[in-house]
Formats: sequence, structure tokens, C-alpha cells
Amino acid sequence: MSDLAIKVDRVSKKFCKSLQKSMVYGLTDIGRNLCGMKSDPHILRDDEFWAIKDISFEVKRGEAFALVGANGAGKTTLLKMLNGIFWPDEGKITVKGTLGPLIAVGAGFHPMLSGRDNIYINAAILGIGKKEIQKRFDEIVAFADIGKFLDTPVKHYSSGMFVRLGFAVAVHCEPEILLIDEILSVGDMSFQTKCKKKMDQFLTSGKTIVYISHNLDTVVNMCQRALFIQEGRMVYAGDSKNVVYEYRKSVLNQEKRVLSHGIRQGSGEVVIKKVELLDQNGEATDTFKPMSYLKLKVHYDAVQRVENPQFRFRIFTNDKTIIVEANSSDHSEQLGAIQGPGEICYEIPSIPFNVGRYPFSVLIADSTGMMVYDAHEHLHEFMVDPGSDNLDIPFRSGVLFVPGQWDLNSKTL
Amino acid sequence: MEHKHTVVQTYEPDNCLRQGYFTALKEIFNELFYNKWLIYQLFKRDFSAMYKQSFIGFLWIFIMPILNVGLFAMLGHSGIFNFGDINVPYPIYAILGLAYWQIFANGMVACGGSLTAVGDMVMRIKFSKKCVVIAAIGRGIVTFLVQLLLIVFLFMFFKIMPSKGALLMPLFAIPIIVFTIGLGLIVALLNSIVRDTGNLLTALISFYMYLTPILYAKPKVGILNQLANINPMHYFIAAGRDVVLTGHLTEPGGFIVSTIVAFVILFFGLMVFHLTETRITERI
Repeated sequence: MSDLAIKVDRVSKKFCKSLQKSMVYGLTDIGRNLCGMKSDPHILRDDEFWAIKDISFEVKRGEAFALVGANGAGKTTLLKMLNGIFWPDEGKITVKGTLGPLIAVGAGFHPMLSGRDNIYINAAILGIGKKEIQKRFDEIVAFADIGKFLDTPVKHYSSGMFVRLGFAVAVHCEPEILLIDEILSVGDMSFQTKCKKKMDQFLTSGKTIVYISHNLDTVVNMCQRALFIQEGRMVYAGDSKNVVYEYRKSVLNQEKRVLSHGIRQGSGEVVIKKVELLDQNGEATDTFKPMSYLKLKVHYDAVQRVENPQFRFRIFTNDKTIIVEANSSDHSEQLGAIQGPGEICYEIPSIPFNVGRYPFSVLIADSTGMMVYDAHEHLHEFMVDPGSDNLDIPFRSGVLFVPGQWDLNSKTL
Repeated sequence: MEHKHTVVQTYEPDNCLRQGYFTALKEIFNELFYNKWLIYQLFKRDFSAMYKQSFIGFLWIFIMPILNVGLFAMLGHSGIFNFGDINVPYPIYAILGLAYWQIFANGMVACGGSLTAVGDMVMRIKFSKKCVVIAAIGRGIVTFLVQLLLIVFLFMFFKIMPSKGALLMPLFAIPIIVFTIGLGLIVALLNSIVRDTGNLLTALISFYMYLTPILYAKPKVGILNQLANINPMHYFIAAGRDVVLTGHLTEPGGFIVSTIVAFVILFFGLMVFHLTETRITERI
């Protein structure tokens, strides 16, 4: 364990949903402990649930480690457990080194007292004595950039100033392990840059960071390893790129569950029997790599004979903006009359889509497009995903994936 | 590297059960010693915030006892209330008693509510929770010291000379402080889990005040006499008052026993608190 800063070994934590029962359980546990009895923490009592269950991981000294997951997954609870605020009900946590918790910046600030007073108090709470804080006082004030408001009660501070002061005190206490819960998102741009710099400095001096963020780019850039948790359980741990990939995939899968509120309507002269997506090998799939081949195949059944129907294919973003519309009537040739079962295909040689989930619609209408025989509106979707072997493709926002290249040699001095 | 100095912390369920009382005691003292500065800062936070948005600020420290004593002096003067046998001017007797009493009364309310008052902080940072409770007694001590001025003024007003023992007055506050912190730790712990504790405490304290001979002399017979005989606060206050007025204690035995009781309660309070404080955060 010599090079480990944090070791979390099969740790669980339970919480109680009911306040009344929580009081009773609290008193019972205290009573039992005082009588020298164990409190049987591994048993769930009525209305209790596991907020964290069976989580294990290790963080090496000098490493940046990220916790990712949706809101309510238990990231903050876990961070609080590393800090020793919550005590595990199962398992064991070992922390080597002094901790600098940035779980809630400015916790412990008294609104009525001035910034100056609060610096002293906050530092004392974080375990820093008088002399040390006097030495670093000017540095803290400079970093927080609160200048002339130093002697103003903090209740009159803007939320940005409040956070800056809190962060400044915490980092200048020079802990060996910094626990950061999504604070960069609060300050303005210049402060964010400052924080980022401070964190980099921190890492280069061989200290350790455990980091919670919803900014997955930062996670990948700053942290070597990460842990993805969901509903208090470990889903995936390892290299931060892989973890972020798994996390993103799971978010996409959840969207699928929520999204499919498609509509089916039409007069029924022609019915869509089946919609398939095929890859370049002709295999049916719903996941494609960016820039890969996609083929749509629509199996229909024309119950009545219809003249020159048109097939329409639309791809949408999640907020139902149309990205692509293709219509069979655009073809130079006429489709002619159809009757009975048949199929029609639409090919895209290379889909220029970014990672994401794309709903699509298929529609069959008469030659004017006014009368709809059958329509699958948003009934289907496909996913674009680089696959776990292509993680070097950085995730960028935007709907389209364009394989552009930077020409770094073209810079002029 | 500074590996030698690296602090290693381990969190495990029920880990209070793994250590003996001696280890726990050592831990408690290390923790308190290490956190002296924190206790002072917490006290300052509490104290300087108290009178921040107030015009007359510190004067409140004088107003409360004067109102209380004035009321009782009036009741006594009109014969509704019988003080008993007091051979010094009543205001001196009563304000002396109240000065000691408020260390306990203010202290209990402040200590008992201290953890819930900083509940937000407890949820977000790990720090020594004992220090919060201990720092809460500070306000009562300062009030006591400030009220000494009032007492000096009263002696001058009535043109009476206190005994030389009056200089020891602050010393006699120590058992009360010890007693209050001991009880306060347990009340704070219970209050953080069950809020009824705080309300119950406020009710009990005013009840307790009238049972303790503070605003009246200890009766010679009757139920109040018997209760005073087993009441540590009575011994603390009586001794503290005796030392100022006459210079020698009327009930030294009771005072010594009560002082021992106070230290036992402090030990017990610290121990209970130390062994169970890991459970506070999730219930607060």
C-alpha cells in the first residue's frame, strides 16, 4: 500500500428514507455500541436502502481519479465517505495523507462575518493553525481575488466570490489529497482556468486528486483512471477513456428507453411491415461507427394497387430537428405501381454523424405526398458509436462528425 | 519525502468497538489538544456573530440579570415571595448566583444545540465535532466574566467590602464549566438525532433554576431543602457565592463531591461522544 493514497475495499453505505425511523435507528445503534454490541450494519432495516454498495477501488499517490455517473448515483456520498464525513456500514476505507475536501466550498463560512474572519475560521476547520494561515493569508486573498471586499460580511458576496474564497482557502491549506466535487462549473471562465492551473500544479507536485465532474472532456484529459457508478453500484472501473465511453453508452441506452414515443398512423393502403438497418456486410444492426455505411431496408405490403407512391426517410436529432430527409420521388425514375409485398432500400455510403442516438421516421404516401398510407414517426432509432476499440476519437459536441484535419504546419509566426 | 509524517486514517463500521477505553481517552486528548486553535476560532465565530446585527450588543449581558433580579426584588418587597434568610443586600446575592447559574443554563442550551446549529457544516466537512460543543460554552464564560463588572459595581453601590476570597471567584466557575460540557456533549449528541431533546432541555432548565437556591436562600427544611442537598449546581453556586461574601464555604463536603461528580460526567460525556460521533452526520 506504499504508493497508494486511497484504498476502498468493498464499501457500502445505507441511508434511511424515513426521518422517524432514522431517529430510532440512530438511537438503537448508539445504544448498542455503548453496550459494546455490534450494530449489525450489514442488515437492511425497514425503509433503509443501500446508497453505496460493494464499491472497491484504489487511487495511487500522484494520480487523478474521477468518479462519473448520473445525478444521484452516489458520487458525492462516496466522496464524503473518503473524507470521513459518512462512515461505511460495510467494508473498509484507508486514506493515506491529509485531505482537502472541496465537497461544498465555503461550508462553514458564517454569513455575518467578514471574508477575513472566515478565512481564519475555515482554515481552522480544515486543520490549519494560526501561524500557517498567517503565512498564506495574502496568497489566499490574491487567489480569491476579493480585494476590497475582504472586510465585508460574506453574506454580501456574489456566489462567484464565495466559491473563489472557499476554493482558495481549501487549496492553500496544501492537502496531500484533494477531493473535488464539481466546483469548476460554478466560477466564471477566468476562475475556472485558475482552478485548472492550480489542480495541474497540484498533480505535478505528486499529490492526489479525486474528482467528480459531469464535464467528461475534463475527466478524460485530467484523470488517468476513473470509476463509473450507477445507483450506488460499480459499473466499470479502469482507464478514464474506457470509463467515460461506458458511461456515455449507458446514457445513450437510457435515452432509448425513454425516447421511443413514436407514432404510427396512415390510411392503410400500403403497410410498412418491417424496417431494417444494415451495415456494409448486409448484417442488421442499430449501431454504426461514424463515417460508416448504412442501408435502410423497408419491407412493405401494398394491400391495394397504388400508383407512384413515395417513400420518405427522415433522421432526427433528439430534439426532433430533421438532419436528413430523403424522398424516393427525388429519384430520376418513377417508381410505378406497386401491389402486394415488396421492399425498398436507401443507402448512405458514409454517415457523417457524431456519437449519439438518432431517431428516424419512415413514411409511405401517395404521389402528391398529401395522403399518407402508413407512417412510422420516430418509431425507430440507431446509434452512432465509435466502438471501444476507437477511443482515440475525442468526443466533441455537435451533430455531425467531419473527418477534418488541422494543419499545424500552416501557422505563421 | 514526507512519508514519515503521512497520516493514515481508516474508516470501518463499528470501529469504536475495536479500541479500549484507554486508547479512546488518549485519542480524545490528542484531538482536543491538536484542535485548540479550532476551538478558539469556533468560539470567535459564534461570539462575534452574536452581536453583529445589534445596536446595544454587549449591554444585553447586563440587561437579563438585572430584569430577573428586579422582578424578584419586587416580588420579595411586596411580600409575595420569601427569599429566606439572606444577610447581604438581595441584588448582590441574586446576581452573584445568577452569574454562576447562567454558565450552566446558557452553556447547556448552547452546547446542546451546537451540533444542529452547524449541521450544514457537519454534512460537508470533516472536523472535530467535540470542539463545536466545547466552543459553545465560551459564550457563557464570557458572559460570566462581564457580569463580574456588574457585581463589582453592586458592591460599590451598597458600600460593602467583599471577602478576599472574591479573587478566587473565576476558579469556582470551573466545576460548573466541566459539569456543563459533560452534560452538553451528551445532549448535543441526542439532539442531533432527536430534536425533541433541545425543546425538552429548555423547559427543564427553567424548572431546574427554580429548584436551585439561586434567587432565594436554601430553605432549612422541606422538599426544596432535600432537593438542594442532592443538587450539584446548588453546591457549586453556594460555594462560589460563599467565597465572595464570607471567604469560607458553608458546605465544603458537598462542593468537593459535586466537583468529582462533574469530572466523572465530563469523562463519561467525552467517552460516549467519542464512541458514537461517527453516527451523527447521517442523522443530523
